[in-house]
Amino acid sequence: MKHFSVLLFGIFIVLTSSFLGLISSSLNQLGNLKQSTESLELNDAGEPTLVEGDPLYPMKLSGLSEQGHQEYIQLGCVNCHSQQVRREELGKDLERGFGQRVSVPRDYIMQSNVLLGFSRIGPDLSSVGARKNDINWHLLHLYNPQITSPGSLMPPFPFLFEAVEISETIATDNALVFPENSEYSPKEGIAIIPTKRAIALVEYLINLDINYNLPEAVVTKNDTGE
Amino acid sequence: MSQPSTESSYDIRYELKSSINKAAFYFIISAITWLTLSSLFAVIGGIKFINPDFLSAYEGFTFGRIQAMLNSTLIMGWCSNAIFAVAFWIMARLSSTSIKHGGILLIAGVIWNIALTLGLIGIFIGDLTAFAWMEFPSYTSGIFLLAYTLIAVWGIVAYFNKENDYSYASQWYILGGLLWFPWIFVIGQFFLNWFPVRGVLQSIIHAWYINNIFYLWLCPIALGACYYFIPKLSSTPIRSYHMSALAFWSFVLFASWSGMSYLIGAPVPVWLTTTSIVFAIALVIPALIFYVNLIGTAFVNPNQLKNKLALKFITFGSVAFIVHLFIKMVLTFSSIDSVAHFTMIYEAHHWQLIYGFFSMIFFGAFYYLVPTLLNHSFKSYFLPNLNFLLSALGIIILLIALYVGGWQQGTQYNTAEISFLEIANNLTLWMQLKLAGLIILFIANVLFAFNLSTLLLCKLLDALPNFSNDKLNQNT
Amino acid sequence: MTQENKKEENSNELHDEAIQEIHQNLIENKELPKEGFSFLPIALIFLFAGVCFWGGIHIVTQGGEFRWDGYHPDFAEKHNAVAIPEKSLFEIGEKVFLAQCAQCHQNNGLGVAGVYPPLVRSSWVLDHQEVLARILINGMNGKVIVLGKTYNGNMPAFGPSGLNLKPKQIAGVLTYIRQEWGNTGSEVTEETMKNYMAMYNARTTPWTAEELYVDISPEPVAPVIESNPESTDENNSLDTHDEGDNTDSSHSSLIISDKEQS
Repeated sequence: MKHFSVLLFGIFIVLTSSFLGLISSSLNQLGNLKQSTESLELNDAGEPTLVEGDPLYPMKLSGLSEQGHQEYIQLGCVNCHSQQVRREELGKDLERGFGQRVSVPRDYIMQSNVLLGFSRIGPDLSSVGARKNDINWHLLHLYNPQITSPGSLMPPFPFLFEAVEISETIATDNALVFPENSEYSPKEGIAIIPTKRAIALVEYLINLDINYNLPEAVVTKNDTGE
Repeated sequence: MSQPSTESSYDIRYELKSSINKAAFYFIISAITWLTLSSLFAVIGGIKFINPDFLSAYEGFTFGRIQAMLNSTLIMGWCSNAIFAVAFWIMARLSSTSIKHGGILLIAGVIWNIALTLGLIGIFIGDLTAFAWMEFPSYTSGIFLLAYTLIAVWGIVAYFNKENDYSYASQWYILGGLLWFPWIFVIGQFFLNWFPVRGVLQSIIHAWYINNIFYLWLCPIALGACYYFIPKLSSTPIRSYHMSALAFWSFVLFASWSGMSYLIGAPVPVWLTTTSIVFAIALVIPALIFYVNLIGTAFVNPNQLKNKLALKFITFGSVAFIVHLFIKMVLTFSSIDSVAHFTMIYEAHHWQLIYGFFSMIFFGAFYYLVPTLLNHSFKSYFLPNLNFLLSALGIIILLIALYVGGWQQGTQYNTAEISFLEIANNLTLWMQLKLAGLIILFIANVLFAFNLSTLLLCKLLDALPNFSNDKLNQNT
Repeated sequence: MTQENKKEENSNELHDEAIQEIHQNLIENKELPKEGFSFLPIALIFLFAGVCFWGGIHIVTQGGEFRWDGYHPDFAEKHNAVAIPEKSLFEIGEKVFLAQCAQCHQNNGLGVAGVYPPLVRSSWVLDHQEVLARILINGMNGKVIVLGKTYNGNMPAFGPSGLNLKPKQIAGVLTYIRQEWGNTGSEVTEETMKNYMAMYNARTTPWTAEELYVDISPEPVAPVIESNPESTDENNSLDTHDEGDNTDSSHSSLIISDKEQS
């Protein structure tokens, strides 16, 4: 029966080693990351400490953003959009303006689910809020991407919107503003109103922004990506 | 091994044929059902890349959910059910014992499929998790685990109760796979769904999970099937078999450490990816041994290869696997990764593993297993052969579309002047080719289901008049 | 051995037990090459050694020193340690000012007419460091005349009795307001600030304009470089107030008289 015990022991060791080597060690290294100020200062004892009074990054998500984050997960956006900026020699992320610096682990500590992504059928969204913060643009883009980006492969999400007849009883202040002569405009007398879900999702998107400094990652690129 | 008396050999045969039979057929039928469903999802997803407006009005059919349902039905539906059917059968055969408690196995199988159905409904209504290949909602994970425990324990028990002293390569792989799966599953669920860790640790664990589900769950079982079927069907012993132990240990060790190569460039400490890259490259050693062991053996006897349908499937799968491993190594080179990362190449790589390798092996295994279990063979091999041709064609078209299209996508991505919209539009041809491949695969899978179910129906019709006779014989 | 059904047995396959038996033998008596030696095992040994050798070197050199913040393969070359750039007092002050003071005194330091006094060219800002330090540490209330206009407000304390800023931060703010917007006051060092804080931290009541010039110690640093030569001329005694070049003499005298009353 000696052979069996060797086999069992080996089976055990293989997975344990990779668990300890890759997961436990990184839990140990990254498990205690906290928010940080944009830069550190030396305290009286000469140790680097947070600058008192400075805002802490990454910021906590607002309640609405958090709801939008859940919508992002539920609609499976992560299948086509990534949220990470790689270092220069691995791709043109910085040049394309996905962020003004490389993303680091600390950027993600305030998110309930980390959506690094694995595919870029669509552009990276790590700093989409800094690139486009027009709420109406985002809503139109969700309602039908063909309005804002003709030829896009992104599916439309009409179920995040309601078509209502314009009347005095229903508030249509927040109705979508379509570009003039758009073939996707609703009929006369109909307004397209975003649901709470669409508003939350857009709130999440326009707050996605990693263009702040962290002690270990300093913004290197200016707005124009130069 | 003691020579079994005719009576005990009759018992074994009887048990193999009846108590586990129901369970085996149950797993086979559910595997085929999920396979057909998953390829339907794949086709819907493929259409959406040609016409994004397709079915877009229905929330449940939005691309993200279709993709999640596709992944779940593939892994937990087709792959897992196929494993339960084939792995147990091989294990019982090689251990000269029988899988006992077919009833519990059947019940557990029903529970497993209920969990999966529940998970699919959950995904459809929006309860999917944020993690690819484990999208089924966390409330189903406990049920999966319960069902798995009830199922797998019999496969493991079969190995420990074996009546001979042999320990053959297939058994190592299958035992390993059966033991690793729950562990990987629990770690993934624990750290991602039950008690989520913070920050990119989630991504690290997710990469580890995907990698190990592929290389320590799907691969070992499929390799176990290869080591069983290839010598059996080509009636040639494995070439250089003495190296198979080295291949086993090096493959499982290196593969389980190679998962972080999905995270090259991601915001994780660089030593994680570097370590995984080294282990991914080290996979060259098992890959070479697999080449000699499996492909070397399969081609020794070309006559058998030509005549045996199952062997065709399995040889195709083995070749796809070795190519897959070499592509895995190449993808870790930073010059290649800078083009391939985030493109369809990774999708192609997964398809190659799941369809090119795993599914082809199990198509072959099913084409062998079902006639054997039924004791009833195909009257004509035209449709099964057509199935092989269609599957092979579909996979090749799909992989060409995704690899070449992905490479084009990556090079254009690295030319910052080309906007994302242009890149997407330039992919149209490859997306159409991908859809063509998926449709061919769908037809092939329907044909697969049709072939096996007609066989089953024929057998049932044949068996009906003899039923009382059989019963009488058994009672005596 | 009757587990195989007849049909399968006829189609020349290996039995399950044959598979095991043959392979068991293969392990026990390794296949002997028909001629020469077998190339594969030797090649594999070399390959294995090569992979180990390369892999070890690769992990050590490209592993970012196994640090949590090593995100670049050649981490060691790029940044040896997390460099903390020493911030000048002015930069520290700018941050604190924008966070704490700009609500009232505004980003441009001009204040709000009639409510919050300006800091630009104000002699209270540019003159004696200790006066300014007193105001910051303990706050100030009551009437004060700045650039000819009378203000009556409450300046909160930023020392331990108020917002409890650190000496470095207060020194930073003072330096900032003395050198920004065209002001050309001297730098207030952290050392100086520590001295002042040691002197005034205990005080809990805010200062009034009258008290501010009582009992002040001599300027700790080299003479203030003033923007305008006129004021330098006047600046021969510690208690002289300079309202800048746009102030007429009547205002100056008014302030001086204020101070003399106290």
